[in-house]
Amino acid sequence: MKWTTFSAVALTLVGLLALAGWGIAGPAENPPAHPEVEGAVTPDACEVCHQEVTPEVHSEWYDSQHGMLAVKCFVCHGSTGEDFTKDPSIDRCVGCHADQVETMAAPFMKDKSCFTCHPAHALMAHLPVAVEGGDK
Amino acid sequence: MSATRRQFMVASAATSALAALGKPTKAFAAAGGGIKWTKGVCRYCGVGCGVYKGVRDGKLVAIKGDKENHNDGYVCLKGFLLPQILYHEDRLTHPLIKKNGKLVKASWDEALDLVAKKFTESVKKNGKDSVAFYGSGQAYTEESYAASKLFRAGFGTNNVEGNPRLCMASAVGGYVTTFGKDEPMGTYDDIDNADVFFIIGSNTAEAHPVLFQRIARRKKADPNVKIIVADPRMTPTGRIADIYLKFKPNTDLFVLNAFANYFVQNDLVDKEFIKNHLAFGKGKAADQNWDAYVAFLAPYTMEKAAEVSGCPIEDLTTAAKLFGCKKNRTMSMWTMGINQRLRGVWGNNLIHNLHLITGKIGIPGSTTFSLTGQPNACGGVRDQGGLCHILPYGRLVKKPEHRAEVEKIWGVPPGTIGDKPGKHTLAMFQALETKDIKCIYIMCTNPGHSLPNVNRYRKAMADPDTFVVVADIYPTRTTELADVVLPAAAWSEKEGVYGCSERRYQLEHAVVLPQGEARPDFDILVDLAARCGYGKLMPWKSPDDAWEELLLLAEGTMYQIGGITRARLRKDHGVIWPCPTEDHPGTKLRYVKGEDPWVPDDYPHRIMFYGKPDNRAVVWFRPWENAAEMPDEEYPFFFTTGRVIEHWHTATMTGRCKELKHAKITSEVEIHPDDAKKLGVRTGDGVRVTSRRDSLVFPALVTDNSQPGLVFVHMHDDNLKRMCNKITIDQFDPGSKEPTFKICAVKLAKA
Repeated sequence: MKWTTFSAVALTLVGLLALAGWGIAGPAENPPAHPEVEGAVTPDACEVCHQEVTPEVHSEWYDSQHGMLAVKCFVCHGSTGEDFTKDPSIDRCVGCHADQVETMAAPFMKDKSCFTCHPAHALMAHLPVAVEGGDK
Repeated sequence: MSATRRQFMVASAATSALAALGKPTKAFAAAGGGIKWTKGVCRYCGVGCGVYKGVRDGKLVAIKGDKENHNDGYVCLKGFLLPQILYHEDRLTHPLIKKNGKLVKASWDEALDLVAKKFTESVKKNGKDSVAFYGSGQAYTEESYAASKLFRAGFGTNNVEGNPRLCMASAVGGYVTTFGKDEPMGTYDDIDNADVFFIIGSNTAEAHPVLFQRIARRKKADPNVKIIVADPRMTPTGRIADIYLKFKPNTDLFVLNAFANYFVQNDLVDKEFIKNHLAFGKGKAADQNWDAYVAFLAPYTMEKAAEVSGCPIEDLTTAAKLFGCKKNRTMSMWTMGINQRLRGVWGNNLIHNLHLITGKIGIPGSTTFSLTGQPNACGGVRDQGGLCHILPYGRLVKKPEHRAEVEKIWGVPPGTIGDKPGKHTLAMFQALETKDIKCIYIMCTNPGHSLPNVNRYRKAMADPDTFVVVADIYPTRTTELADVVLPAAAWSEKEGVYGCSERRYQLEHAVVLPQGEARPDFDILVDLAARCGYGKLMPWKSPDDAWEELLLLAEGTMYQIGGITRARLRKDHGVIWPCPTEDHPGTKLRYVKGEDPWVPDDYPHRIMFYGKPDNRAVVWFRPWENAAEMPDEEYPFFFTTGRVIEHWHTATMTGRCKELKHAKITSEVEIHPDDAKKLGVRTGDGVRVTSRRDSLVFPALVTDNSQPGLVFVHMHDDNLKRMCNKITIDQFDPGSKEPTFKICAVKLAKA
């Protein structure tokens, strides 16, 4: 017996509707919902699928401080339901980095988010700074 | 991979590609914008992280870590999602009474009058001990205290228990037998000073994530820090380990004795410390000596330990060297892997032994630290006296002078408190089965899911001839068995004190109103007491008054919480006892001169184990023994249970968070590839797991994190088809009475 069986009909419908929607509207700023997984009798968490579908993203996260400390996908991206977001708001950083998030209110941060300097998924403390005259 | 999985991945990849064109959104809703922040404590584990709770328009909307508390502003993923636990549509918002087999809506008057009538009638007709209270390490201290006073001084029974019996009783037994007093002597600050961590029987990364983070930070700050993790499974805690001792189940007590023997044989013991501070004991008597201890340890060689445990001798030896090296400060941490065992107390004793004979104790970074599972098991149940054999602040039911002290403060006649301990948890539910207990009040916990061999006790609770009252915030596997369900106010909807693993007491503030007709457990108990005719026992207007009474009870005991006044709790970010006066900073190094107010300034040594009459901690001789149920020909596998980071306890709260409800909530059976191959199962296949209690089917997770002969299932899943406690055995440690959730025997078959 397979426990990871999705409802093929439901998923196909969701997939078709989603793809049709993108086709008409073009790429969205914050994309449509996460593919339907609700109701699937599955023991899997995000990692199981995303190790295969987005392996680079998974390993960037897994090897990062956040991965080491098990700050998992849904902390930033929400659930796979209506609250799912591809591009997390910095509200999601407040839990552990409240002071830093407050600094984002400064005028010179106007067009920036936490992820401007801390690349998504790896979320290093700071981007490597290019050294003048070094390798280009 | 199934076709449907492939479809999902195609859709998911498309989502990612298209979304990459978008820009991150910026929202400051949670960071500002009319939010009022109030300090508090996380609702979940025993780490007791300080949080700030953000309320807007009367609703809890955000959580952030408290930088002024021990957690330095960090919370784990469950803590961050806490606001959701208040607002799920399932919340119990009015009392329910079972009529014709169904729970139907009732008024508070109707429900509480019925409870009062049933309990008082049972006491009159069947005797005082026909009623019982089963509480929780999640209730506030004042709530557990109110229940304890109602049952002991009102109904007159010591049948007062709590779920810490299921998780921490062996740690209590260990501290009390070795040091004479319960609770650790160190604090989380020791983490920042340790050179070596010895983590055994604890998946810290998942069960206590913020402490794991602090350990990881310590290692990052100093690469010379070494971490030894000992566990039969490779868990995420192993990601920071330098040495991973993946021992065969139940062989850890052998390994611990072998470490001690290694210290003796390699001159890693502290002879001066042994001479000044230690006694030696066997059985229950501290009447042995060093030579007898050395002789006891002789069979526990490293060679034999390697053979018994299956760990490479090089790893065992390196670990022992690191632990024992005289220049290293070593911190041991453990939790359920040691406690939930037939010899849980012995396991605790053996860890303490390692620190005692090396003198690695009472120095910043050198300590023996039990991690706690619930937010108020320590403060609310262990300290306050919420188990059947204890009374507030280290007093024992069996001691007449202790009962007299409590009776005096309570203003009740001498002899009110029964002279015999009540029934411990499993005995309590067994008495419900035999109808010796006819009425039970269950508060803030879920024994219909969390007791071992749970089918047996679910049947007892469901029996129409027993009267079961459950106060909780959501429907659970226990409320479904109840005769009366009382809707309780949740964390953040009520005020009270939590005491975490490091003796830190903190105040949890009410920041929003209870949902519907829900009421704080404290109010419910005070109301119930009045309806039972015991109103005089609880003349309190609020939990503040009960706290004043608790401070009186602690006065003169070694707990010394007199300085932890309500006013101070409102202001401070937690206070660590002993703390005799309001201007005392609290005690981080217990038993240590110059730190602990109980140690006289002129005491001739740096440490004084004042819990023992001769000021000597006891090194106990504890042999290696079989578990209560070992694998055999018919049931050849070890079955063990544990936790995942996404969920907590029986998932009654985490299972209602939208991000968590599908995240690892299904219990899988972790099985080693060698065993999976023999059974012909792959990940995702069903595996039937059968013990002598029940037989359930779990999806397989084939992983070499496990080891041959061992299967693991997490304990959070409340689906009756996958509730692991139908499989577990209801044997318990004869000393602590803590059940042996960690080991029983099963057979496996492909389903």
